[in-house]
Amino acid sequence: MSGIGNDCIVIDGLVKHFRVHRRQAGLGASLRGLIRRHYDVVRAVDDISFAIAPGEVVGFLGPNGAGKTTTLKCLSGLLHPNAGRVRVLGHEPARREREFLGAITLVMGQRNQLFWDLPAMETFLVNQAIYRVPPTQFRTALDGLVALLELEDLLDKQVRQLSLGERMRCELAAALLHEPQVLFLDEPTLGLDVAGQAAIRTFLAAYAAERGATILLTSHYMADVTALASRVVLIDDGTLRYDGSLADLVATFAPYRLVRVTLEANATPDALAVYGEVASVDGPEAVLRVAREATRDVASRLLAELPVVDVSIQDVPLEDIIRQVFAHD
Amino acid sequence: MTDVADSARRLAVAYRGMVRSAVANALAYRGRLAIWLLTSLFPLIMMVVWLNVVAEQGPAASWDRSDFVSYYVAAALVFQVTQSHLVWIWDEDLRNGTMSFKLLKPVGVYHQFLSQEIGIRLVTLAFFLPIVVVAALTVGDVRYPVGGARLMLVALAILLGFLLSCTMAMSFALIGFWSTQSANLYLLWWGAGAFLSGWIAPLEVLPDALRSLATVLPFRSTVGFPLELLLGRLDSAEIVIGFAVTVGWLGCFGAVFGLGWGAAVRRYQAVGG
Amino acid sequence: MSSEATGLAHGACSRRRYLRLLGIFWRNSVASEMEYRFNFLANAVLSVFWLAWAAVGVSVYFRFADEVSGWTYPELLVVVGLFFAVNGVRQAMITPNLARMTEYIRMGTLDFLLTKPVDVQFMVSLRHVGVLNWLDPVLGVVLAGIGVAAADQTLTIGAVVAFVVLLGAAIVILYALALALMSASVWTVSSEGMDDVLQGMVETSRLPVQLYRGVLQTVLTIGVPVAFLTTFPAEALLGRGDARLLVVAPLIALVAVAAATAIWRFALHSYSGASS
Repeated sequence: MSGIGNDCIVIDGLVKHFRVHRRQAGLGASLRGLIRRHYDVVRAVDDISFAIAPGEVVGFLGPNGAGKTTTLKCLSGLLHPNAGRVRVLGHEPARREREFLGAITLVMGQRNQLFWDLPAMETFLVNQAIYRVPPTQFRTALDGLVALLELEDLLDKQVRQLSLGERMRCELAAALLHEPQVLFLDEPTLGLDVAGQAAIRTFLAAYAAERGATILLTSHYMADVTALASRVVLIDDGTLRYDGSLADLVATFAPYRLVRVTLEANATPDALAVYGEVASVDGPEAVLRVAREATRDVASRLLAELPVVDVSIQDVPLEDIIRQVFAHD
Repeated sequence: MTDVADSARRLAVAYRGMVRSAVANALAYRGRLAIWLLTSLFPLIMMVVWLNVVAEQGPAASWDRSDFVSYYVAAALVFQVTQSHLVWIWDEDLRNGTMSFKLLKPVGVYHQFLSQEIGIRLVTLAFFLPIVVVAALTVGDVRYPVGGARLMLVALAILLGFLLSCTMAMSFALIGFWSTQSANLYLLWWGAGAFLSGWIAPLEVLPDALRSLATVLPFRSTVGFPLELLLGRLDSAEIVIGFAVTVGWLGCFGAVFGLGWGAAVRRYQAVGG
Repeated sequence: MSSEATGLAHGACSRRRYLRLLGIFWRNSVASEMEYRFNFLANAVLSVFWLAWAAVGVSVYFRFADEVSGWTYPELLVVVGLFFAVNGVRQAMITPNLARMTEYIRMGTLDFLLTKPVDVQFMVSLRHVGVLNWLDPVLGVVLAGIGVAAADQTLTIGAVVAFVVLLGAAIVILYALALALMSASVWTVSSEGMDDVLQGMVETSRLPVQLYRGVLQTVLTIGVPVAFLTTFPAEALLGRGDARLLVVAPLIALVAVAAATAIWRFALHSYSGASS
């Protein structure tokens, strides 16, 4: 059922919209809502297209409500598109064929498929039965996941007694026991503390390197993406804003670097303007935006011509670049 | 042919795992004793009142004290096994997003829910069956005039009643994909059926018209039929008719669910659950 | 101002404040339930259905007798009607709060509530109200009225007063039972099944306590005071109650609330101690 080239995931002109009931606060509005309701149509995904090759790890970035989760649900078969074509591993997800379901996994941040009152091991065993994983294969997969995710001490505890981070790690294990070829991860680090997020990122990087699985990861944390993905797809308001490598993103939207200079006396914007675009002045400190090629030149000129105490050259933070991409015109 | 055998084997493996964890979950649920108490209460209350009536007025429709006690002691068990809460569980799963997880599994959602129910029933039986057996052997008023063969028929009737109850519940649960009222509609169905099943009172003490109607409707299969079978109050013809009606309705609701499920999934995929 | 006067003024102030808070809470509960608009209509229909169902259900006994344990069919309907009323109050005011106890304890909301300058008992037991079953108490009282009329009973002022007193006591006893169960859920860190236990208790009041006979009747009158919930108010309305109950019932209600409050305080005390 392929013939769509070598791509693992193909999205072509995907459109998905929802009818949403709009309601105002107040008892009066509630009463009126009993009789008549007003609906708005929300275009969650509005004509996006991209393709992912087998083994790629792609970061799917966007602010809240951008359409990331909706896209993932379309890819996993939970939603069917209003228009456009979706193919994963050659299957049409909305048909929910058994072969397709057995080859993918969907993990949603802060939501669990684990049994709440039982140890995580119970959920693992049920998944083994449901996905028909042979005993030896199960053992190997489980041992590997337990080691990578550091679950040894957690397996016998009731899931309700685990912390959010521990639960997420168990959730990942439960989702990967059947060794799916395609991983859909929807905000897997949401709500976790810094250590928890780092643990998940380390695990996913190792898993991707070892297994060669295709991973589509959504997040609104920059660090998730820089750690894991070489390619990013940026989405906002249901439309694609950028699709390419992280390096190209930086080069395209931030063809400059920041030169931070500290002078002996208070800096004046006029004096500095000749060296580059003045981004900010704060007492003796100033930040200049300088074209990438010219930074070394500008830095040496500053050192030679002005009473400089300190100078440093920095890259524009990725967050700022992304924000710029998402900025509405 | 091998496809079917393979599917069956695959399903069996899945069931073993799913029922196992359903049993573990059922055992972990701390409110279970309270649920048992609540659902056993109604038949016991009914029994006490009937015993009053019999004590004051003599046998009702030829049912004496012993008949009522025997009926309701077994009823406590049969109610627990055949009454299904699937509509509420299904509804809850739809509201809180758990249905998404169920839809992502390569095993039919019907099977996932059914195995859950089986798990709960196994735990319930482990509790109630000994009580009924002990009562049957020790309490003088409790009389079940059945031999080995008939007891197997009773077990079969209870099993079919359970399956029918689950299938009816799931058919109504499908409504939940379009409306928030699936549970209420099911309650109406169940409530009306309560008169015709043997829940409100043994069918034999009800007016003839109701009794005749009950013979062809699905409700009796979940309560009255297994109980009347156990009490030895049915002749061969009535037994055959009872099973035929049960199987017939099982097929009927099975078809309703089968046809409705595709539409339900498409609806879920359209509005996002 | 004297300290006594300030105390009284403070008391009046806080009572007004609590009433205002109650208004806000209940308004929110109603608004959120109205989000599911068909539920309103549907539940109203179901209320009527269940009432008719219960009324027809108990008529089965009277196929074989005019009277069961001294109660005729219309008289029995009075009890059934009052059961609906009391059960409706349970579903409206107790179930929504009792069900949330697990969440409060597990999510730490109880700790959060303990730091608020509002009485925790108030917050926990009265915060939410379920309006879906609003019709039940109304229908219940209507059925009781029908029962009284059908029983050829003339309603005297005295009977109505006695009825109101006893029904009031019944509601207070119900609240006390609920509070005791909420305290138990603090201990067990879970309210799973608690509402079912309360529902079971209230279900036994569906029929007059005389129908139970013997040990069960005694238990339900003195042990778990189910008889106070429906049987005694019904008898008062039918003009055949025991006059002494007019004193005993309110007393029992007060004792029950005092006891339940003490249990609640004790449960909170041990809870705060444990979680520190």
